[in-house]
Amino acid sequence: MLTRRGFLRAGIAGTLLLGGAAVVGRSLSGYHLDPAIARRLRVLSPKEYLVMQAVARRVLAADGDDAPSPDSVDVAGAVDTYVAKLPSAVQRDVRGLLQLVEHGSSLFRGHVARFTHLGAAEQDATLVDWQRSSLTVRRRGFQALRTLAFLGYWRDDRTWPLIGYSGPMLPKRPG
Amino acid sequence: MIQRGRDITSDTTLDCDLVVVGTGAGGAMVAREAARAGVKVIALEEGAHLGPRDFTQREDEMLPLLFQDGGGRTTDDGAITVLQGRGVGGSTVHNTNLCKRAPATVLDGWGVDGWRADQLAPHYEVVERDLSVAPIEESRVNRNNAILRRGVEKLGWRGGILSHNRRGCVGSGFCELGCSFDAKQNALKVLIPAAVGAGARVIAECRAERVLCKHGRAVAVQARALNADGRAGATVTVRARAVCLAGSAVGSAALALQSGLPDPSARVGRGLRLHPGAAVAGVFDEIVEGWNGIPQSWECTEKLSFDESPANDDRTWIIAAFAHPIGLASSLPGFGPAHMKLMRLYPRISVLAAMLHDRSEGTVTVSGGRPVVKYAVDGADQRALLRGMAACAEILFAAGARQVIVPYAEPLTLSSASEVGRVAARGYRPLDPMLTAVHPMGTLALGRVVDERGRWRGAESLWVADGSLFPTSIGGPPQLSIYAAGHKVAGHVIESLR
Repeated sequence: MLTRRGFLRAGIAGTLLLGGAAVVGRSLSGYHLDPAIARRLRVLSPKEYLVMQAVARRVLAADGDDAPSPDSVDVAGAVDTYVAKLPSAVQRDVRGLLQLVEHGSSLFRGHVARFTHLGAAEQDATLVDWQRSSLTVRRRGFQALRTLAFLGYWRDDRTWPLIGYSGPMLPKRPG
Repeated sequence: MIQRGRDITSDTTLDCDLVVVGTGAGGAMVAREAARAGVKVIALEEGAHLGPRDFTQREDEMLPLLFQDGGGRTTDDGAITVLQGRGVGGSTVHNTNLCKRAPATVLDGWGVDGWRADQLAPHYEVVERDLSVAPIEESRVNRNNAILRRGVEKLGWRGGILSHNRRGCVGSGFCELGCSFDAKQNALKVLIPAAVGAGARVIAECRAERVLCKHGRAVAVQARALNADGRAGATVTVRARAVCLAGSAVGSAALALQSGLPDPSARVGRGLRLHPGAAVAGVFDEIVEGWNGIPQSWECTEKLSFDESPANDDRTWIIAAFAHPIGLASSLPGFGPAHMKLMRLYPRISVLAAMLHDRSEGTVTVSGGRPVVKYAVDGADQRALLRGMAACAEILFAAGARQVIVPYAEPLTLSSASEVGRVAARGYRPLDPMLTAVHPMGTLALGRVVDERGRWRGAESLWVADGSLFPTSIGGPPQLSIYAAGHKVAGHVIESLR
């Protein structure tokens, strides 16, 4: 479901390459997140939040106008909340994966742009690259990204009318 | 009493006769039986002690509480999601209550004295009585399972109703997120209270980290109390006359390896079976709303043969496998508008799963203090799995599906039964399609790592009572067999302590 421990140590050359890109990427700047949102984050950095948000916008791109947008249900914030409940090793993997997507994807596509700086079509093409990759580690990363985005979106009551889901029998608890 | 790790704020040493690691089907049964026999028992559980009032029916809230790694545990290559429970009651808290004895051919095939079907039968009988196991009433079969039944009957295949351990079930359909209505007659509801009532002490939120041995005997378990945010706090040392491992085929093997326990068989952590399964979705004109009602009440056994010859590729058990929105979204292929379009079909989708009676063997190792599960589906198992997936498609078409979706990364969409051969043609490679496993078994196997009583070979006073014991796949839901194994091993443990 999520990425798991050992993702960054998959034992293939591609992993080292991607890992290097991620390390370089951590020191790059240029990410601006509303300070009020940034203050609420428990695990993700503002940069990682923005990468998750960019991924969610593509993974959850709608086929109609009636679907709540990923931003309106704060998919990236929900992912942060969810990941905060997981073991620290899993938290590290999720954060590492988001760094890889941001800085590692371009190495396979012949340019140096960060994922968050790409246009929608190029972001989609990047995700398809991960999905179809011959490297297991990238296919696995794709599955993890997809699942995180789905988790952040379909947990929200506002998305359920779209699919006719009646939801829990119990009322939602405050907080 | 049931104590929480967060309430243990300083290093503590406790003494007892028997320390049990894990409170799932096996561990809870050992704890209950031993406590009733007058044995002073302490049971350690990594997860929390939750009850019906904690089960909110929301996936994002319950997954981190009820599953290891929030449901994100996978094999090392990420190809198989390995769903394992955590918390008092273990996987019995989130499972769908399936109760089925292991087939006699499997049990007898193990060749382990005391574990033949006729020898294990009395233990099964106790479990079935105590957990109120009974067939699901026909009127409780929900629409998703009715589709399975309709398809199977139309094809003239083998199938039938399943038995469960539920009483007072309202059919909410949220079994996999814990029962808010306390209808599950499981380890959490039945066995743990009985164990505590007989004097056992349960320490939840307490992670066992090492079994300590002295002069060839297991003498204690060293654990760490976990604070409210899951971080390790005080050290809890439980000294005991006997130690019983019951933390699952992954957890028990990892603890054994981490502890450096004697391993004369060189089989600790080996022989892992998983029952990996693949889901196949059918799109219907009728409303299915598979999330309502009892999730798994019917089975198809047409493609499940226990003939152990290498040529037997009919080794899948087919059951309904519906999920709530996050689970379904993850199992449907693709992303973006195409995926959203599939999600809109949710109320008209029926999902079946082919679960493999596997022969492939994986391993459990430890890295950085955490378990690593390695498992590759071998060629013969791939063939069997693909046959099972094709059979799911056949059933769905026979039941009236207008389209069947096989969730490869590049979705395979079939429009009639004549196309099911395309499943085998597409084949399998890791992560395509994604597989899910909920039944790890076999890493501390009977007759290898432990003797026929469940006693460790190579160390005195050390016992195993969980799915690790099974030397092979059992080809069906294991909880009843794990409860029964716990009951059997408990008898030997009690005898050894007299």
